[in-house]
Amino acid sequence: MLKIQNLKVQIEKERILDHLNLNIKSGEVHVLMGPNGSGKSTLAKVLAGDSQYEILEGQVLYEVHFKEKDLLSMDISQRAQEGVFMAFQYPIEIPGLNNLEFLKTAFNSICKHQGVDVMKEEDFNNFALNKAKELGVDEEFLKRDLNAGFSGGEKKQNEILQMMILSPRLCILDESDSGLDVDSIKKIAKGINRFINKDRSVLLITHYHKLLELIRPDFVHVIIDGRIRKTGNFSLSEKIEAEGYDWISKTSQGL
Amino acid sequence: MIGFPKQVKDFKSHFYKNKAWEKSFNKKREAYLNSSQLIEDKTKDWRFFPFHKILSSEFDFNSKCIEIENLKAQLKDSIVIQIKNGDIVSYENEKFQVVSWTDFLEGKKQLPSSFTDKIFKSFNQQRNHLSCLNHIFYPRGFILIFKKAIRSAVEIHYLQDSLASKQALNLRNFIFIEKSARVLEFFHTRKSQKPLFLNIQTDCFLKEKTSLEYFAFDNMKEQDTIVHQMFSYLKKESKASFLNLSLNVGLSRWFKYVEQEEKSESKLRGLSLMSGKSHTDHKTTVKHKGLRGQSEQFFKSFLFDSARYVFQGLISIEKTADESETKQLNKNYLFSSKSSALSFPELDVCPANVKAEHGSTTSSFFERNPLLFYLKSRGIDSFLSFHLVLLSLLKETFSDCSKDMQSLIHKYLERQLALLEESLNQDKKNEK
Ligand SMILES: Nc1ncnc2c1ncn2[C@@H]1O[C@H](COP(=O)(O)OP(=O)(O)O)[C@@H](O)[C@H]1O
Ligand SMILES: [Mg+2]
Repeated sequence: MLKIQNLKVQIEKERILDHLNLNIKSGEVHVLMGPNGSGKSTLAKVLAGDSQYEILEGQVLYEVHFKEKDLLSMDISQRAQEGVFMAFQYPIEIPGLNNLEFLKTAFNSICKHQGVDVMKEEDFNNFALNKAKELGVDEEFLKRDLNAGFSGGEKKQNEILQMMILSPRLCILDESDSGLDVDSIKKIAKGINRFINKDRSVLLITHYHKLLELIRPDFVHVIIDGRIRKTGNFSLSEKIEAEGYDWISKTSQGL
Repeated sequence: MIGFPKQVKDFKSHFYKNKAWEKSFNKKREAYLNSSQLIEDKTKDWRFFPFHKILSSEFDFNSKCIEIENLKAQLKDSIVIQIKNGDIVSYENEKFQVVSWTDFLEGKKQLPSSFTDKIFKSFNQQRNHLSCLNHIFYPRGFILIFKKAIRSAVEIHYLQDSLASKQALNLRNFIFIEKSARVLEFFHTRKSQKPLFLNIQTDCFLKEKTSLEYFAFDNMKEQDTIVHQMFSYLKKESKASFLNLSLNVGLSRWFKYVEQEEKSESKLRGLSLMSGKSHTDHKTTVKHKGLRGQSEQFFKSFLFDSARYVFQGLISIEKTADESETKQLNKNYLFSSKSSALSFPELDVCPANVKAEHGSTTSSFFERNPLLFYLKSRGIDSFLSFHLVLLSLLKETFSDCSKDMQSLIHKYLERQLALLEESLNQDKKNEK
């Protein structure tokens, strides 16, 4: 579904991603771990289309209906309409914009793009309400303004709710579990587990083993200084949980 | 602050030199009116959203006012006062009274002596350079007295429909609040008419324990100038809330002066949407004179093309005004690299036990903007994202207004945005 090839990215003349390669197939769950400042969020935002980063080299291929498209040449909203979704590490607040209103607009935009009939207002409201129940969040969520006055945990749950409603194909979750209590992590894990199927892929950025125990990823990658230094399976995350990243920086010669 | 040209700094300083004020302002105005590329010269920093189209939507003089039928349905016993080219007739019902200057000066309408005293005192104070001089001999405008509480609002429409050469209109209004009231004030001019210089001073007197909600909507055009001054005197435990919605008048200066007695509350809000070469000053002076007063100022600007905005807010808390609370916030949004905003907070506090807050932010939308990025990353296209963000930022300004007022303003804004979309679609058709 996603092929990142030799990606080099910089901001303000500082190289952040360097020769990054990653291959994600349909139905797979990949995990990206790494110390703070190693470039995880940068990768997520570059994939979502954030224009503040400068792409120096490399390409990203995104497969839609057996056709590979150049993701980096697509506009931000176009990427989302084609099924790319990023859950933000720090979701922003937009007071004055109703959550449900926002979701409906987004949902309709995506439907229109994909040539699907737009839902009736009432149907959509019910649909959104059901998703909220499924995730186990308060229905009030939808009535409030977008993230306005939400706690950190609520904001992250709202990102997952958006994911469930917009049903993307490729989902990039940037530390959706950080700063959450155990119950909230369980909710998020539940959301993600329901989301995964053979046509969808997930790239999960996290620091914690806890979420991974609930999700059981197919691959675990470790990024250090903008490069993927090690790839393994679930057991790699266990080792990192116990020993940290030092051993990787020391042993790896880079890819 | 982002590239603020010298001439604007000079311009701003005229506030402090009262004597030279009128002269320099007129000079500036002349220069402004005579600049040949007034309307055509749009810097296209911000290409995909031709915002100026919202702002140049024409007011239909025949259908009287923006959705007035709607408005009437919402606000049952409202009345509409039309001030066409400055003249009004006296009007009276059991709830309020409008007195024209002619009737008042010729003694056809008598007012209680406390009102008359206030009126003459205000004229004599000479506080106001411009308006006083013009008004002493031939005042125009009205005296409005609220005698009983009304749930709805009094609408005042200033219609200027003259095609005569450049003209000035000076109005002097007095509002006496004996019982709580609402006022909606609209200024309308046509794009096709000659430039108008509108100068309005309104003095508001609030009796104890009354409240006033005051909304001013300016629907004037790029060629026009407005100087709008509002002096309000709040007696004990009264509440006043003023809101200004300003759409792209060429050159404007809004001044609000509030004097507050014990436990009174004032809220000043301003929202300016400006494009072209518009310039707006918002100046506020809030004086706390009595114990435990509360005041709040919240001013926002949205600046397109090479529009400029200056906010100056002075809060003065006198010795007698212990335990006062005041909050001031100025937010500016720049949509083009040539637009600019300046903010000058001033705080003058005597007593020790006072809560005061001030904040001022300027964010730019012509570069990468996190709000737009967020919405777009959910599949909403640029135009719609902007529409949503703009609307939400606008709504924030009114979030604590009363419900029906809020819905009125939202309707108004949505209508403006709908007009914009219509004209965009029209453009697309024309291109084909
Ligand atoms: N907008 C920015 N301006 C300057 N430096 C940035 C910016 N965003 C990220 N960086 C830098 O890029 C590096 C990677 O950041 P980030 O991708 O957020 O790391 P992570 O998510 O792995 O903690 C850090 O050194 C950070 O300081
Ligand atoms: Mg990060």
